[in-house]
Amino acid sequence: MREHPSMKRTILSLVTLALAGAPALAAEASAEPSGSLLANLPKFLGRLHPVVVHFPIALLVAAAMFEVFAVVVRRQRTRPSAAGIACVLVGALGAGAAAWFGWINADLEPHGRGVAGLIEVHRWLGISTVVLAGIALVAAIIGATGRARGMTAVYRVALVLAAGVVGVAGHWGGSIVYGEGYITEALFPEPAPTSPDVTTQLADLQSAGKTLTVDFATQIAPIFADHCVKCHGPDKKKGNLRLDARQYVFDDRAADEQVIIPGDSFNSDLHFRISLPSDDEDAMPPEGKGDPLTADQVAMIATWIDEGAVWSDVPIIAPTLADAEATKGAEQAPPEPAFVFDDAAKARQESAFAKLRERGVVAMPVSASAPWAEVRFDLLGAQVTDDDLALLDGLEPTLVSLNLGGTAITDKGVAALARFTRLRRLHLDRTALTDAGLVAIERLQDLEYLNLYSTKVTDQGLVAAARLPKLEKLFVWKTGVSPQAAMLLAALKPGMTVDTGIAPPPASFEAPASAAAEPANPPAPEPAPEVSGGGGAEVKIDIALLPDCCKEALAAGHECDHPCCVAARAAGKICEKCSKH
Amino acid sequence: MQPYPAPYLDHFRSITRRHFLGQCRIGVGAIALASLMGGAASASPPGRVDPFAPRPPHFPARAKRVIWLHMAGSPPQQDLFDYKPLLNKLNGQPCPDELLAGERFAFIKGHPKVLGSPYKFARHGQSGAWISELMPNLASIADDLTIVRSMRTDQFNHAPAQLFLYTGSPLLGRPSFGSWVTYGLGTEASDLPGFVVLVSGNKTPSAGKSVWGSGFLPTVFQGVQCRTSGDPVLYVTDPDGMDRESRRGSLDALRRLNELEAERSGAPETATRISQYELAFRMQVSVPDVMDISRESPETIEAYGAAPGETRFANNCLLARRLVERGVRFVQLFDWGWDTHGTGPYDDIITQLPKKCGETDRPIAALITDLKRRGLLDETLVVWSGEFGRTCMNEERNGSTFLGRDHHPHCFSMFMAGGGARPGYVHGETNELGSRIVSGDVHVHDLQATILRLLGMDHERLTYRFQGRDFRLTDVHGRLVPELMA
Repeated sequence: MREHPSMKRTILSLVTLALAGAPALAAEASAEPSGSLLANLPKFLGRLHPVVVHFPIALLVAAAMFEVFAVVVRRQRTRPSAAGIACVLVGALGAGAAAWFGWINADLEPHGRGVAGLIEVHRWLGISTVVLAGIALVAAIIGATGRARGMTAVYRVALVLAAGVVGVAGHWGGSIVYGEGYITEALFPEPAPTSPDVTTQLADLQSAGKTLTVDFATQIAPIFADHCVKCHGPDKKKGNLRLDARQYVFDDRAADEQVIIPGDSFNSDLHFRISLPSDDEDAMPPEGKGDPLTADQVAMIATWIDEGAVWSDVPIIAPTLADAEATKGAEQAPPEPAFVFDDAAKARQESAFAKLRERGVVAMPVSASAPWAEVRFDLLGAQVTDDDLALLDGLEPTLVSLNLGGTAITDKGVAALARFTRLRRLHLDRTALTDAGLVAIERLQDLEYLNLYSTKVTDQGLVAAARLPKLEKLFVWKTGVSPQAAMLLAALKPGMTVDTGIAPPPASFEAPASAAAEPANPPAPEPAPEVSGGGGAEVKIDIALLPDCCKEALAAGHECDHPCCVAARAAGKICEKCSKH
Repeated sequence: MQPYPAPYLDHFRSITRRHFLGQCRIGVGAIALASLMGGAASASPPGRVDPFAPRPPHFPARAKRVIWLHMAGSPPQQDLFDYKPLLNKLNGQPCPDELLAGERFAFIKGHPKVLGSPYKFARHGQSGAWISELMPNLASIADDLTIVRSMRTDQFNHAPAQLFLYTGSPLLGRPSFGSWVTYGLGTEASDLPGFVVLVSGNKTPSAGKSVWGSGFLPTVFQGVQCRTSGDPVLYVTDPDGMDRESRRGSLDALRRLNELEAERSGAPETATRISQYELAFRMQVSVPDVMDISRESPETIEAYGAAPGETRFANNCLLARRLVERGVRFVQLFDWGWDTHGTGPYDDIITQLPKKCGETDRPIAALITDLKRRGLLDETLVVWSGEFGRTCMNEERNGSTFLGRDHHPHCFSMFMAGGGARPGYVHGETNELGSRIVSGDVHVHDLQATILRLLGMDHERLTYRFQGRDFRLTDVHGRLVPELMA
């Protein structure tokens, strides 16, 4: 036995070193951007994980089989079989290497948030395998010397456990790559999705006076087929999401797991993920797993969602390799010119932001990852004139929200806003705007919110507002707009609210005369005792006689809040408890 | 001349090289380890130039700012929003045993009796929300409200419950809601603090100023309390004999010194100090202006029921609107006087509760209506809440003959308006006795997560690294309640 502990120590320290070294290496790799071979080494090692894992899986299971054979057929009980030891030796070393590489791989490779749980389980199963295989190896070597017979039993138990755990770990690893239920699905395929109720959806939309500008079957389904369904389809189901039929996207998902919220692209997770920059951890398609969508495709999906996400029953199938080859030539066709938020556009936006901020204007993207911009001039008030609007140059393709409330802009300035055709929210309240200026607003077909309160706009100006197809909220308090015209507009446009700012007069709760003594509905059990006139009765109290606490409170501008003093005051008395002190 | 007193120098002299090597081996090892491990960490904080600069949220925001109306002491939900006719049927009878099993009460002793509500309820608006006659003005705007009747907390005493609601933890030391929000989003106002606190009801909340403290966040993010009478912000006006020119001059000199210090040490709190001095200087002009509600039209003052020059809740509501209009991110109102135990007329549900409702109902309704017609409600989230609920039993402390209710953490009501909250919607249900939630459970952490989401922030990503781990408002909890979002 004496010569063996050193070997045990060596193996243990090797395992510890591998486990401790992996995260450190990974951290180092993520700190260093790119370039040198050394910096890229961890990523390379990580990708060896799927190669190396085959060794422990095959060899540990083989070793276990050799041992079963040795015990059952050859009745060799006291010593491990030679074949078993050989397999365990390579298998254990392979397990250590695989665990180490796997740890690096999990840290460095992009993966959806949905598989984080799978990775955690897989990681600890893998490490358990290393530990068990290590124990088996040490016990086998000791057992083989024949000096400690018990060690052979330890070896065999550890080996069988290791073979079992490595199998389970391998299964979880497969689930990470292929999606959960990959194997069982082949035997028990999911029932075909129920046919969607497109007609009712369309009818609903039509009755709401909406028309669709994006067609799902010809415009959206091909995007899903080309970019999404390979991983989110029948074959892989990554993150437990399938995008190949309506039922999987909507009906089969819990209320808080919906990735598409019809009518609300801003809050739809699917839209959020596809609009992230491709190096973001949550971006879809993930880096290296498919081409990112173009800005046009993202915008089209957003429009489709905002129009109610009507999903008609068309097959959505990922293209095979042959398809891709066949369409390669077609894809070379020049894309239609459209706004793309590339580095140049980003730079133009940043330089516009910088100039605006220099002026003291709040200007920034609507969220950390979206290209869309919002600008607030209102905090500078009347300092802002028509000339300042030139600062917005460069934001034409991205400006979605603009606040000019309370500024000194005129109709001329407003007319120049027609170029910001993506505006959704526009504040022109408390300005010198008149009906003439509103004509230019007609060009802003995406406008959803228009604030005109306290301007010189009249009923005439509402005509322009009525022509905005997406307008939902219009504010005309303190303008020349008549309540009748506002009501008419609201009636004409069912999706729109027109706020004229007319508020009901304030009401007040009149306690029934008897309420204090006898609540009416139904009577409370004990009548509350009489209170001296609800605090209204004037009770003269000599301030000089008040206890110190009440004097201090009065000096500070309020009444003493000691409960005893409050009670005494209500009864028209001076608190006796505090007066004694 | 020695710049430092001798004892300090003696101390430094006693620390020799031999001492350093002999006594500090562990320390040196730790420094080496820290530099090995912490390479990435020390490289990450880029040192923001201006901590108040507005920053984009994680997602496009539905709410840009928050006005939180806190009814400190906690209103009785059974008398305001959670209509429970069964309580009136059982009024005066000993309460069912199930309400006492395993319960701890702040004050109730023995076997208490059920207490019905002495107030009439009716359904209001298209949503058909039940609201009691104590809140006639809120009832008239029921379709603007998102009423949650299934709120739940872990705490049943005021101070811990208030801390829990605003910091996510019942213990002292965590940053408050407004601090987290200004830390995450900065503020759009350049001459006002991003987080303003207004207090009425003659008493600061039980948990003290910690409910608007910045905890471990940089101190610039703590709430600034503004007073409605006297100086709005203490010590913001120049002392006698100091004119604005001299103030500017001394601030410029201080700034140069601080910049030298910042260059030398790189300490982030030095940058904080510079920006605080500059903000205070700008506030000397902006604060008296924004806090002067007499500049409002008589019609508006009348609508709120405000009274310029006094300290009252209505004034604070009007101020809240003026503040958010000028780009303040988070306005927190506290109104004391809702702790209706029923030990006397000053805290019962017959005299005190109608008085408090009378003081607040009209201003809150006016605030929501006013924000709405100015087009501000769309992006301003108004929140109304207490810190917990109240029992459906009469407290009868020491045999009191006044009617009142004890503290109750298992369910309470709150409401929101605007800012992406779903209007005209009543969420959740309690059982017939109003003692437990039956459906639509919303824990305090869930509410926090949902409000942060309305502000465009992922509550799991709004974090601050402190004492070796990432802290967040919702601790390790919090679940979005999508039903509450429009």
